[in-house]
Amino acid sequence: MLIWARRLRADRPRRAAARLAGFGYAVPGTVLAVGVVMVLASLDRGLNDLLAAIGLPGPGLLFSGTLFAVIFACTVRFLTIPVQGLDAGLQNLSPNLDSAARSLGARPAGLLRRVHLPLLRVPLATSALLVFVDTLKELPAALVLRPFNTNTLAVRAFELASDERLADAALPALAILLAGVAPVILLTRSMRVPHAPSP
Amino acid sequence: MLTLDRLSLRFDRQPVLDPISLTLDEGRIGCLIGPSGCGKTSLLRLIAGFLAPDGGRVLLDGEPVAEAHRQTPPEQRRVGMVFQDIALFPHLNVTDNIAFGLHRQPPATRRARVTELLALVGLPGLGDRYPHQLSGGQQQRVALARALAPRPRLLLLDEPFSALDAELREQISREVRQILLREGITALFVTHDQNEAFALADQVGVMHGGTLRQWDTPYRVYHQPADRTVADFIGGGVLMPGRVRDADRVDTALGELRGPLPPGLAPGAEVDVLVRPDDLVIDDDGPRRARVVECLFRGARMLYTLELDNGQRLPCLASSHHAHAEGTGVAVRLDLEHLVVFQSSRFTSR
Ligand SMILES: Nc1ncnc2c1ncn2[C@@H]1O[C@H](COP(=O)(O)OP(=O)(O)O)[C@@H](O)[C@H]1O
Ligand SMILES: [Mg+2]
Repeated sequence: MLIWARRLRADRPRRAAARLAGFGYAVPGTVLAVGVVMVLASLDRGLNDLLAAIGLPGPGLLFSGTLFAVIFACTVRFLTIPVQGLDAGLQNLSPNLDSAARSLGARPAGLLRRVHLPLLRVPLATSALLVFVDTLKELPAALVLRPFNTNTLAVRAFELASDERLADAALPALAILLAGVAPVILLTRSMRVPHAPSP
Repeated sequence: MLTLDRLSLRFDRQPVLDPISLTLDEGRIGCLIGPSGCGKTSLLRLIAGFLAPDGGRVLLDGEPVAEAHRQTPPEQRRVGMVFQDIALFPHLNVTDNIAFGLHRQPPATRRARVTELLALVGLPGLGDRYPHQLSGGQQQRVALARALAPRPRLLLLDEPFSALDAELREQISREVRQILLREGITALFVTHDQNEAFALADQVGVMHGGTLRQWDTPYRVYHQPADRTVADFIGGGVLMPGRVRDADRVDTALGELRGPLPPGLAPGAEVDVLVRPDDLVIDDDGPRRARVVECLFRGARMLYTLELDNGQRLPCLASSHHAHAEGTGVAVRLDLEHLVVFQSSRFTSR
């Protein structure tokens, strides 16, 4: 789940990319899924053609036929959450903190690791959590993109419910609920731990 | 040590710094002073490397660190900075804040340096506190210690005392001067408070609207201001109109004044004469009458605003032993040590 978060840290020069990231959240999951299939399928085709051209056996649907598709779709769809969370967090920090770190010999990577990351722990954790919960619930994209033999909890619940096996459907549904609630509890706990607030 | 060579800067094509040149020698303390918005912070950020100049060069120890298309990144310049908003790292305690710039050194060296600096800035034993547990003055000292820790070649301080109240400010600025001298560090301050500048600096620069009007000793900036902007800004004086009589005399509402005049002033030329609050003396035998328009109690001194018969208002700093009430008349005498005269602006467009 932290793939998203990890991507974001590098997203410090928040430019047009951040705006683009907001796009995925606005698009319905199904539309997104079809878009992802198209992009990844053409990638697959390109790769297979390339390998065929140099005489190697193609790996098949490397991108569109695997878990990669689901993860990629969720990344696109939920990227905006951490982008915005961290953006707000960063804007709360005085730009002079950055300048201070640099003048004390920290390179940009050091600035990120020694100043931004520790100070953005809470926004980071919050957005990771939101993404985690949202991903658990994401149905349409997962339905279209999941590889055979792989289910997400939401898909499982949906299948069972549409077969009218409501009692069985309750199990994955409850699991979603629990998985969603548990980190919230953990997070509120960790936020109560004394942690130097900004002055 | 520090040389600025025709340094200029624009923001969105708007000039912020017109070509600025100055040099600051090793171990000296320089101070830039000027009204807010005149480009002081921008100049420091150029020197530290957070901004790139649009023209000119910055040299440290004769080595260019910023010139056209080639910038040394800030972390390689060995230039420390103390910021206007202090900017301590809120997630680190005092020790770790000070040690931030020392993380490549062995732990023992690091610990020794932190202890030394805590003693130097007068905060021994507070190493475990977090910034939010310190008073403003203490935070300021930690910020200074943090900037000094890696022994920078040059220390920049951007209005370091503006967040402190007046009393603390004077005390801390005196302490800081002692600390800088003890560490033998070359430093460049920025302030908009001239008392602070005069108290701290070996060399004072007066900035106005992105230009450096004068870069000189405090004495010369005060007594020989380079132009009327500097004269206006420094020392709380006023410019009083006068007329040149001959090569070294000027007629004014306060009588004839003698002294060297700038070249190129013909007899009869309109000029402005600088009158500082301490140039005007209330003296019962004085040749001119004036009326007290306003008086401000300043403790040992009283700052009067006096009005001459012709309506000219002048400041006057006098002992507060003999109070003169507003509206009363006094006799005054001008006691000018340095005649400062500028060509009148009344007929030139401003
Ligand atoms: N990032 C910026 N973008 C555009 N204009 C700026 C920026 N920073 C400062 N300025 C402008 O540059 C001028 C000088 O600002 P500054 O150096 O902060 O002045 P000072 O520190 O003397 O108060 C001001 O007119 C300000 O509006
Ligand atoms: Mg400023």
